Amino acid sequence: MKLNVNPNRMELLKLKKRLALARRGHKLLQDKQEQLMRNFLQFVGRARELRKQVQDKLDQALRKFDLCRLVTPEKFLAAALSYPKGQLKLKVQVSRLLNVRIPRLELEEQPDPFTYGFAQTPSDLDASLKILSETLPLMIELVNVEKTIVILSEEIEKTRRRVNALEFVFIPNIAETIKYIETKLAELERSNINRLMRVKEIMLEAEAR
Amino acid sequence: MSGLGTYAFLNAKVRGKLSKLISPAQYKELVRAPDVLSACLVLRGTEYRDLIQDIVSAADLPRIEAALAEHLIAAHREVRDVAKGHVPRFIEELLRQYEVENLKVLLRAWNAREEKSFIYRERICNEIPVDALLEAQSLEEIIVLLGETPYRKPLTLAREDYERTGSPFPLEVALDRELYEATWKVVGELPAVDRKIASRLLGIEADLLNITWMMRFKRYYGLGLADVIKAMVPGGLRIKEEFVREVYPGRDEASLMTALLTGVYGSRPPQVPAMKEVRGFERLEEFLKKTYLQQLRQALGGYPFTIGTVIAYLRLKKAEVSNLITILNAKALSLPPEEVETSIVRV
Repeated sequence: MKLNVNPNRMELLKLKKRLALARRGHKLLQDKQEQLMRNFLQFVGRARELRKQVQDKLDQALRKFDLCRLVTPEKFLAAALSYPKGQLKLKVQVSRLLNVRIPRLELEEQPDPFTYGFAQTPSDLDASLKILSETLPLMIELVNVEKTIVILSEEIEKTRRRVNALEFVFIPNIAETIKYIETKLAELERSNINRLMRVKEIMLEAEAR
Repeated sequence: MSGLGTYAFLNAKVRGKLSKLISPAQYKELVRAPDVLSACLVLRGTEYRDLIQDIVSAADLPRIEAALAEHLIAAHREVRDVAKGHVPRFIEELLRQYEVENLKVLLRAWNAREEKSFIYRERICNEIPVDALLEAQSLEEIIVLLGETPYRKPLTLAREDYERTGSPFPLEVALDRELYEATWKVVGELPAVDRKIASRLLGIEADLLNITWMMRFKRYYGLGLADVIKAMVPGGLRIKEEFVREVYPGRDEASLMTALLTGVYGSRPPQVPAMKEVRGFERLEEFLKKTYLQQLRQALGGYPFTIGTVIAYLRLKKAEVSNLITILNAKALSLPPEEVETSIVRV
């Protein structure tokens, strides 16, 4: 669809500049999209790997916790786990990837998981909490990677829409408008020549008479 | 009073109670039961029939656990009430273990300002004002509320550590130490034969606890020698402070386990695989518990008119209650019978 512009040389020059800029932008956005896609796939692979590790660790921890639950009356277990030794501290940082802001959680301080006496708790509880405590950094890494994947997928979608808009709407429209202006200017040129030729003819006829 | 005079009736009573312990056939049925309700049906043929009457689902398990704990306390009281001479005082000390456990749960609940419904509120040995303790504003108030109970002194001594760390752990260690020291004091006052038997059985118990704890300290806590010695249960038969000072420092888990077992049994028993093997630790705990139960059974096989029969019965009862909790929880978690079998300890 051509743009609603006056078909003159000024507009033609302006449109040609815009077309060149749009083509350069399109190329850049395509490159960005490809790079985002490559990063996205890398993060998806990493997330899959991390999720498997976390799942395995959680399975082990829950298995141990079940064994502990088997031999420990609920009141002792509830009492043993009722009082944490410290607080978990997380730091939020923001990094940039292809100018996309990616938040990142970092474990600043992890409290000691063993906060109970030994008389009423079995060693399976130690094992379970140790595994869970080892799993925590992996879970935080998984959160980071999965959040990055979500942000990258939104950015890829946004970039794809921009690339498509440039490729299938903006550039064709400008190209069509340029063609229209060029045709229009050529027509004007031809009709001008015709008019001049006709004037010349009339003048020659008048001289001959 | 002679051993015969003291133990004639008590021994008959305890033998009668021993015959009511869950039999291997009943254990087999319990292990094979498909769910909690079926396991409860099996228990209808045992001493526990009254406890499981109104059980309708696995959701009632916390209630069964509380009832089983109460049953165990009642079993101690029943034996204490028919005992004569020095025996009631000794059983009272064994019974106090449950009071200390309950007090530790109470202190944790107070410290965390959390759910309090699972605390046992009836009197066990001393008058503990449970609700007033839970409402206390400070540890000082708790110490005052504990009045003339034996817990006032250990809590006062551990107060500084509690205030420094903010954790109830030092209070728990102090309570445990007080209990064991008082128990050993009572053991020291027993007549010679009883003293020898009680020292042996309770000493083995302390050894087994210390072995397990030391392995846990080494594997998970990375505690230094001074902390290990501070947390040790006193009165071990073979595992004494000097022995720990010799074997604990500078060893890895596997060599520590071998050193501890060699110190107690002469060598590492074949049932216990090396620590680095996957089930090493689980097997060690299982082996130690089984060994202890065997020692209790042996005590029942000797001269009957001693305190050995009483200790053996009460500890076997405790193991039985623990096994029942394990089986019922396993049923609630739908674990296969083979796994349940490996989780319970009996001889």
